[in-house]
Amino acid sequence: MDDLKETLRGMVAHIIEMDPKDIGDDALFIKDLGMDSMMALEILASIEKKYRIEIPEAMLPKFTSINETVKQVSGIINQNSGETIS
Amino acid sequence: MKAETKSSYDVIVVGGGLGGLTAANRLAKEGYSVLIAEQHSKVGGYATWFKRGRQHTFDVSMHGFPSHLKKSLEINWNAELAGSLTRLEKVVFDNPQFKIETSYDEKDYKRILKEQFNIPEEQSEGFFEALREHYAADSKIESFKVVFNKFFPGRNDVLRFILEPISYANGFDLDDPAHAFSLIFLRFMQDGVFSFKINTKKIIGLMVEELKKSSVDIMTKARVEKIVVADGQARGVLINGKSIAAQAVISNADLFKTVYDLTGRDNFDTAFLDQVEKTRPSSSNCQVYIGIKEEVSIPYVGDMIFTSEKYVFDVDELLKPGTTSMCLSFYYSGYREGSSDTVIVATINALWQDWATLSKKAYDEEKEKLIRRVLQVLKKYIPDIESKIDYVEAATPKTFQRYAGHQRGATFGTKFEGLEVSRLLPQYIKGLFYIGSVGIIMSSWLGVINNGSISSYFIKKYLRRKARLEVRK
Repeated sequence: MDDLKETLRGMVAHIIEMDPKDIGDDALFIKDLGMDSMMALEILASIEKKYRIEIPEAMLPKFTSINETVKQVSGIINQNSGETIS
Repeated sequence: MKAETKSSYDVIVVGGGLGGLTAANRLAKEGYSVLIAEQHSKVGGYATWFKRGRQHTFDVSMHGFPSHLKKSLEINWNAELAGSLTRLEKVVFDNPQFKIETSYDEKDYKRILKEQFNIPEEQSEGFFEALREHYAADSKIESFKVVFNKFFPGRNDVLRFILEPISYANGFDLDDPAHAFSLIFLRFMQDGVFSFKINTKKIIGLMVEELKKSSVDIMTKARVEKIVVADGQARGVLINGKSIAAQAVISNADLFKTVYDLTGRDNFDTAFLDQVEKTRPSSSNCQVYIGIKEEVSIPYVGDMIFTSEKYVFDVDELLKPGTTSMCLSFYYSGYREGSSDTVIVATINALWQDWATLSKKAYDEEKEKLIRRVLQVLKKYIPDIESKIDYVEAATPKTFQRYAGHQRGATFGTKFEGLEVSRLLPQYIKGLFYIGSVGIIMSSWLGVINNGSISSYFIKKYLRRKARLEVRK
């Protein structure tokens, strides 16, 4: 999931115009990084597109930091690949 | 701008305000066919302008925006629009309690709180930290008043310094949620106040160009009579007697009009209608537009001045007829690319009922008084202002109502509770979305553009799900 984590860090860095290395894994998108809800949703939409997944609306509030997002997204990716196998 | 319309679209947007335009652009970029139906002769909603006299172009709702608008324009529109923002240098407060010039950012605010208001650093730090907590947690509904009083009890002067600009920015009052206050205030505090190097006419022009590139059809002078609903699903709209089908309909009109008139009460249950009934429209504004003669110049006195003659700051006083409290926006010659025009726009908070009940004669007299009051205030900064102007006109809540069609001329949509109502709408009618302004948090261009952007994400999801279901059938 390192690839996902770094992709995500790149997306966050791009949107808030910060150096990726200055963005901690647990920094809170909204409170610590000053993102607004539009920016946060924009990142999620990019993830959905890139990894061809659909994030359920009820899960949106859980995407609070890079670590949390990686956790949620990898859950969805694993679940999807499980479905494909079965 | 009247497009040849098709008989059906993926999405129809009712009302071309900034939220509607943004959603239309995003959805069209994703490949959906989109029609914008606007009742007025031009799109933009309150983001509008008018031309008067030989050279003056007045912007109606452009004042100052947080730096986030740049990113928002980049994502939702294009680099040219984003690049046309520029930071305003000087925001001025002038009232009997204090006279302050500030760059309007957190660092400068903390400095002024310490030096001019004798507030210990840790106290102002605590206040900003509390706002950050509220910014992030929208479920924590504590009013602004409660948070403010924890840190600065009894400090009416500090209240004025912190709240006055936001009261003008979106009709904010003390009982509104601290969360909503934080959203707008902290964004300003991040990097200060920005405005455009180009006027609203050019901005909307660039947006229309972009929409055309995305193949969006735009119909102006198109009054939507009905949003067509069948089997609990939005099916299209009725415009000037002609019905046009759609997979989804987005209303960017007034919330009450959307529910009561366009959709119809019979499509909702009483619980929902009660909730709509209880939703409060936000307050309105008066504006006075002042054009400066071509051959004369005015001195630089600041970009925005929050001025008042009241000794004590009171949010309700800002709304009273006869108030001397107002926000002056200065657009100096050369400030706008390719324009030597100098104009001043005074914005005064106001209530619809104070203007709507006047007789024609009394209304005209009040407008005259308003103009005289604004010129009187302006004399404090530019003593010979009266000899320098060649155009002056006033707009009232009635003017705003006439042009935008919003109930009671509300210039900031509805109060906070409107957000919940707008979110519930698609649960009652599938495929019907609302992106009007829910004032408090959605005010200012940034708020409505972001609302359009966020909504387009959910509408896209809805359309995909609908398409998948239809394939299965």
